[in-house]
Amino acid sequence: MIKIWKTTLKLRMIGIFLAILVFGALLTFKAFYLQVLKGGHLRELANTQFHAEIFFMPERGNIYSSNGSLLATSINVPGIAVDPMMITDKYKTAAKLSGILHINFKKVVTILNRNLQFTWIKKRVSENSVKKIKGLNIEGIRIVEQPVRYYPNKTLLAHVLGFVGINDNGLSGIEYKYNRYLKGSRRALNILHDGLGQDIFIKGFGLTKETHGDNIYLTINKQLQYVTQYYLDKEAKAAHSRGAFAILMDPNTGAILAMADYPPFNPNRYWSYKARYWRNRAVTDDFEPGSAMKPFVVSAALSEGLIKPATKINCHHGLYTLNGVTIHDVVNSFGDFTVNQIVEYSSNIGECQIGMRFKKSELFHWFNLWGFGHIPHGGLPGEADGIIRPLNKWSKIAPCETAFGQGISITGLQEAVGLSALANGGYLMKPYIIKKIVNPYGKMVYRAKPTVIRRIISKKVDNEIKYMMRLVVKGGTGQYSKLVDFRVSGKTGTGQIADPKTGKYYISKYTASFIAFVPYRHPRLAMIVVQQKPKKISYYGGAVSAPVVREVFKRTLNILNISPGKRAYEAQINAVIKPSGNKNGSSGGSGNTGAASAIEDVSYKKMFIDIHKNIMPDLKGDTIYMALDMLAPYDLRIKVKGTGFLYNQSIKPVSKIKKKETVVLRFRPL
Amino acid sequence: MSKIKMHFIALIVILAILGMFYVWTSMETMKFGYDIGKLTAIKAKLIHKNKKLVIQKASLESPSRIYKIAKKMGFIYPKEGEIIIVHD
Repeated sequence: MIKIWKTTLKLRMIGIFLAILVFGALLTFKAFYLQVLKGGHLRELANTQFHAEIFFMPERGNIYSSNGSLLATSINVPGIAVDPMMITDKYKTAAKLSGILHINFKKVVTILNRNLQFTWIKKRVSENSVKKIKGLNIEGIRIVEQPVRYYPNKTLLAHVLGFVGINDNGLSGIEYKYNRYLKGSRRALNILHDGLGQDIFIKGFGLTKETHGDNIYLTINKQLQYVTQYYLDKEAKAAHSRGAFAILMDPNTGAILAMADYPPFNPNRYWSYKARYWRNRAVTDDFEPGSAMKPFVVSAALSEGLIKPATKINCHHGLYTLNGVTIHDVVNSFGDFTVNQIVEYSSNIGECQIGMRFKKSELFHWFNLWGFGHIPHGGLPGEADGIIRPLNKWSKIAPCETAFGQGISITGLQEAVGLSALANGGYLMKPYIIKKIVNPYGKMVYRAKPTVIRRIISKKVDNEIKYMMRLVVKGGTGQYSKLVDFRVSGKTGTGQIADPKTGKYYISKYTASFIAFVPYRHPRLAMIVVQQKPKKISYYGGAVSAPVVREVFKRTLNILNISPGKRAYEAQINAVIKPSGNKNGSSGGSGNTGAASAIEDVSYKKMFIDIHKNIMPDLKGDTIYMALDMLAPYDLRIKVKGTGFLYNQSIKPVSKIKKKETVVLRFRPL
Repeated sequence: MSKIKMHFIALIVILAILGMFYVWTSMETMKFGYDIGKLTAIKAKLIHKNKKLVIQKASLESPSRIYKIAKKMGFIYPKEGEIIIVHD
């Protein structure tokens, strides 16, 4: 019995084994058929159904100001696209879409009749419209997100930042120049779709941040930029200027703190402005600087030993003929002038004669030393190199003309770099606007360092030229830039504009500029303002550009917490002196500048003597700050009444002060 | 039961357990895949929302806007000499 059972079991097992074998063989055959014979074709089919490749568009890097304020960023904005082949009732769909998207009905019908699988209906659609379109539930309509560049400060720094085109490529400004850093690179990610079309992330998950663009930090200070742009716009509008620009620079490092252009434009809607609005005139436009060239030529002449500050030159009472060319001065009362006075009152005749003391090659060499005729490489696109004629094309009187800024063209950035050298003791600094570039991980890609290109003038010459420029503001042609608490040094410039067709100068088209730095002894800010073809107020730099410098310096010194400190008393001399020149900003009075300098020196000495002798100083016209600063060394009890400028002090000037005596200072606005 | 039969049943059980474990892990992988898909979508939405807030903040901090509001409220720039910087 057991034997029979065993035999039956054996047969059954063999049967099952055979069945499994056959089944396995069938499965193997089917697998072979599917995997090998039909494998390629089926894999292709499955891939198209279940696998999908998502392309992650990189996020364009942001642009920030020096203190981390956002200046440019990107955000995905929905747009409406359509697969016209899937739309059944085209007229009905067109009617609905045109109503929601506010597009012409006929235009939508034309789009829907295209023989395409993908076409845009409208890019940049509001979320409200997207909701409405989703609610329509029409097959074939696609909502596609696309990155859009956004500039939250609108017109602020627009000419420097530039803008980005539809394909996320920079078209102008920093956006264009640093596109390869900002753009990042596209990365694909493999995913699976289930039967319901839901995404399943199986492998390859995790898009690294490296694909996103780098962030760029500029040297621009947002607040200083606003102040610069605000006052430039205001003055340019008032003067009906064709264009204008301003550069505010740290003269000690070459960092560009603000760069403003007029007329303004909004990069969020760049396409609605004419192309001439987009240009960053501060780096692209060259112009004849006029008298603003004088400090550069005078410092060169001082360095070569051709002149000294006290050298007297005959200014021929405003009319001078050289090689058949007549040169004029604005005021015809100039006789013998020292070099100091030539700069202070901006005498072209005096300057012409200084220029003629150079050999042509010498002056040509000096212009090159200042960086004129060379691209400044400040990190901005479209930087021009200006125009200096080749030496073999210089006429006999070229040194005369170029000395007062005619027959030579420079750009705003070149002028700002040169001015910074005058301010910082003679070092030509490389200008820069990119502070650092940081990748999305926070790793530093690039960091700028202040770079000295070369030293141009000695400290002694620099002090001499700074003093001359101080005289320009104190009593010369630049009085509209005068401040109460700080001493400003500057130079006006009014350059004629040449007709490109005839080569002759227009009679009434000028470039009005002003270059200045502050504080006088240890400059922290250097600024150039250039107005192109001003029509109203005046065409003199001293009248239409100097006031911009004054307002910008006034605000920015406060923003940067730069204190007049112990030097406040120096401002006392000029505290309440109003500009004495007429509003055309041409030459001022004919005071003796040597005498002015002497007064200043005597004032210092007198003050120190007074402190030692406990003699009360004369505080009339001082601000509260200046008065308190002056009285700080004395052992007094001080009471302040009112605000503004001092008009009365209870202890009379030059009186002897007793210890712990109370002094009442009364102030009132001007 | 014979030893062979015992081994055969044990093998079937082990294979069944392994099979079930494989199916369970596959199910879990799929489940996590779905979860990651959903969380990724939430993350993208939150990033987008955050981005919008950052932009809104930057727009609100725009100097021209602040200047206009300050002017409406009657603020003015201090005159020269009215600012005293106090040093430590």
